[in-house]
Amino acid sequence: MKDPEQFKANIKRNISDGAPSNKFIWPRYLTKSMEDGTFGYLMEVKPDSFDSFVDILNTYKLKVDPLTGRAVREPVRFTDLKAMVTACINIANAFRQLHRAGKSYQDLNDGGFFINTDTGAVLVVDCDNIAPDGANFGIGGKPGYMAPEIVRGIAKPDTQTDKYSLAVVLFKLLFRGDPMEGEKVVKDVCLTEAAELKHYGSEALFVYDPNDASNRPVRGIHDNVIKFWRIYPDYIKDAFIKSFTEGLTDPNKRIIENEWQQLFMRLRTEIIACTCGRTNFTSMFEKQDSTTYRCPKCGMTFATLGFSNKEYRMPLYIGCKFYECDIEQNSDDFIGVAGELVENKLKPGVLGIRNSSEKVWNVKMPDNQFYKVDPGKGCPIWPGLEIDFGDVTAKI
Amino acid sequence: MSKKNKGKNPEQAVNEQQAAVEETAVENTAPADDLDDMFDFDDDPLGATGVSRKSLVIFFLIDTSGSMKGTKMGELNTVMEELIPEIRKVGEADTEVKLAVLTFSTDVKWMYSEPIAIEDFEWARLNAKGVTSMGAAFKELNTRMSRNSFLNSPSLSFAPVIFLMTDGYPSDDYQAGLKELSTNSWYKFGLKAALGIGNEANDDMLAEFTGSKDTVVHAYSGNQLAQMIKIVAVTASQIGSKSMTLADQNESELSDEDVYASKQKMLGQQIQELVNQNESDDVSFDTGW
Amino acid sequence: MIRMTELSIGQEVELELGGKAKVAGIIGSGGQGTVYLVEYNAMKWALK
Repeated sequence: MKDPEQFKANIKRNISDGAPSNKFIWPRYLTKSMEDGTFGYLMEVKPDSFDSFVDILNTYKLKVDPLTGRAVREPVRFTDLKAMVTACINIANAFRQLHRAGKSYQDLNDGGFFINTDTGAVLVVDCDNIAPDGANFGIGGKPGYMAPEIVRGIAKPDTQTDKYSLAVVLFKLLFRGDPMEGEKVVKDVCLTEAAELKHYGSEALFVYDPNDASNRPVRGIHDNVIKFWRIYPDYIKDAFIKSFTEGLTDPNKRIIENEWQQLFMRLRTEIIACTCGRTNFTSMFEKQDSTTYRCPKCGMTFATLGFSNKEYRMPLYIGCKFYECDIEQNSDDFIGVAGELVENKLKPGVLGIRNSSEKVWNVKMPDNQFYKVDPGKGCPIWPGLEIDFGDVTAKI
Repeated sequence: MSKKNKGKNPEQAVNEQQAAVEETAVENTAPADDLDDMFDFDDDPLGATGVSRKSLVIFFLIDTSGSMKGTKMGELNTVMEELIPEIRKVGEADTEVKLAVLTFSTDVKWMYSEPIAIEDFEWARLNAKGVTSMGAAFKELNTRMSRNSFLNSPSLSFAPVIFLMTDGYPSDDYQAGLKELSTNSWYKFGLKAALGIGNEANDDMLAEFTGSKDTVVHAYSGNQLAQMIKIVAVTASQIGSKSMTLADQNESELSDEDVYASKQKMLGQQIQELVNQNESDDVSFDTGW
Repeated sequence: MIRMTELSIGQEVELELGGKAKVAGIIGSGGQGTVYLVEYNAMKWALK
C-alpha cells in the first residue's frame, strides 16, 4: 500500500461525506487503529437477494453444503430481460451519482457490483478506493477494466478513466465477454506483463472495430460475444463501438453516464415479451409497418405507443410498463412505474392501460371524446388511443 | 488439446494452433446469412454461457528423497493439506487456478496425470525415500509446460507459478536439466520461488533456479517450514492470478522493459517483507535428536 | 481490516466514535482481505 495514512484519511472523508446514494454500500464507521497500523471500517451487510457481478458472468455461484462441506454450483441468471437492462440503467446511474459528487471509483472491476437478478437493482460495494477526482492512493485498477492510458502509465485514475471502465462493465454484462479479447490476444496465449501492456494498453483493439478485423472474437472461445453482437440494436452497438475506438485514445469521446442511461432506458422500452415465449428487443422482430412489429416465430403483431418526448415507440404487450420519466418532461425517475398494460379483469381479452402514476390523465376513448382517468383506473386500448399526461402526450 | 501433437516440437505445434485460431476468426467476418445456415441461431439475449476464464497453473516441485523422511515430510504433508483451501480463496473468480505436483527422489513422478482445479484438488500424502533427481525433475517440467501438455487452456493463461522445495543437493546433473528448462518460454515468464529445507539445502543453487535471491526462503524447523510454504505459495498465487497494475510515478509511457519480470520482482519484495515479519525460534530440524 | 491481521470470533474491535463491534463470523474473503460479520449497537454490520 502506497500511503496508509492518506488511505485512512480518504476513508474518513468518505465516511463524513456519506454515500452518493443508496446504491452504494459505503464505509460508515471507522475502527480505532491498532498498534501495527491495522484499521478497518463498518458498512452495511449486503442483502442476500443480491448476486455478485462475477457470479452472473460465470452463470453460477458456489454454495457450501452445510452437511458435506462440499461446494455445489447454483445457477445464477437474470429472471427476465427487463431485469438485465434495468441493471445497466442502474449501473450507469450509480456512476453518474458518484461523479456528480466529485468522486471517482478508480478501481472499478467485476468485484465491485452486486445485482438483484429479479429486479435489476444494483449495489456498488468495495468503495475503499473511491476518492475525489484527481486523487490517487496507489491503486491502478484491473487491466481489462482500466483505461488504456492508465495501463500505459501515462495517466492516473479519474472520472474520465471511470467512463472507460463503465463501458467495459456494460459490455461484459450484455455480451458476456471481454471487449478487447479476440483473435489477436488469444494468439499470444501467455498473459505476460508485456502482453497485457500491449493488448489492454498500447495496442488495444476492439473486437468489433469496424476498420480493423484483426481482433475478432474466436469461435469456440468467445461464443457469447459472437452470438449477442447479432442481437442488440445498432444504437447500442454504435455506442460501444465509439467507446472502444475513438474512446480508446480520446477520453472526451467516451460515452457519458447520462447517455448510457438514456440508451438503456430506450432499450428497456424496446423489449417485447411475446406470448409464444420469445422475449427480445424490437431489433429482433419484423417491422410490419412504421408502427407495428411482428413476431417471426408465431406471427403475433404488436401495436406501438408513440410518446411526444421520444423518437422511438413503445411496443404494447401484456405486462409492458412505462415509467415516470416517460410521462414527465423533467423527471429522472426510471424506476417508478407510471402505466402498465393489463387485461381487463371483468372482460377477458380486452386490453387496457392502468394509470399507476399519481397524476390524472386525459384519455381519448373509443367514442373519440377525452375523459379523465384517475390514478388506479384504466383505459382501453383502441386504434385511436391518445393519452395526455400533462407535459407529455402519447398516441398509438 | 490433441495428444497426437506430442511428437512435434513445441514451436511447430504453436504455429499450428495459431493457424487454427486464424481459420475460425475468418469465419466470423462472413456475412450474417451464411452463418444462419451454419447453425441454429439461438437468439435469447439471456442465454449466455459462462465467460471464458483465464487459467493459472501452480507447479509444486517437491523433494521426496530419503533425507526428507520424518519431521520434514510429515510437516510438509500437513502444511500442503492446509494450504489448498487457502489458495482457493486467493483465486479471482475470473481465473481458473489449477495445481500440479511433481515429486522427485530416485524417480520423478506427478501426483496426478494432469493439473487439477483447486476446488477439486485433494492432497495425496507423500512418502520419502531414495536419492534426489532434481535434474530429471527439471527436464520433466520442461516437457509438461507446453500448450500440448499441461498448459493446454484454450483461452488465455497467466504465466505459471513454480515452487521448488528441497532439503539437499541434487544427486544428478541438475545443471543440464536446468539448462533445458531455461529454454522453455513458460519457465522464463513464470513466477519462480524456492524453499530450502534444513541445513543441507543450498540457497545459491536455489537462486539459480528462481533467478533471484529474494525469491529463495529457508526453513530450519517444522514451524518455519509451515510458515514459509504458506507465505510463498499464497503470495505467488495472489500475484500470479492477478493482472498487474503498474502505475508509473512520473506518468511516462511504460515500455516492455519497464514491465518485464515486474511480477517476479514484486514476488521477491513481498516474500522478503513477510519473512521479516515472521521471526520464530523454535526447535530446528537438525537438532534435538 | 486493512493489513493482514486475522480476527477471531468473539473478538471485540473498538470504533473511533466509541463503542465496540463484536466479531460474529466471516462473510467472505477475497483479494483485499477478509470481511467479517460483526454486531454493533444491536445491529449486524460488515467489517472490512
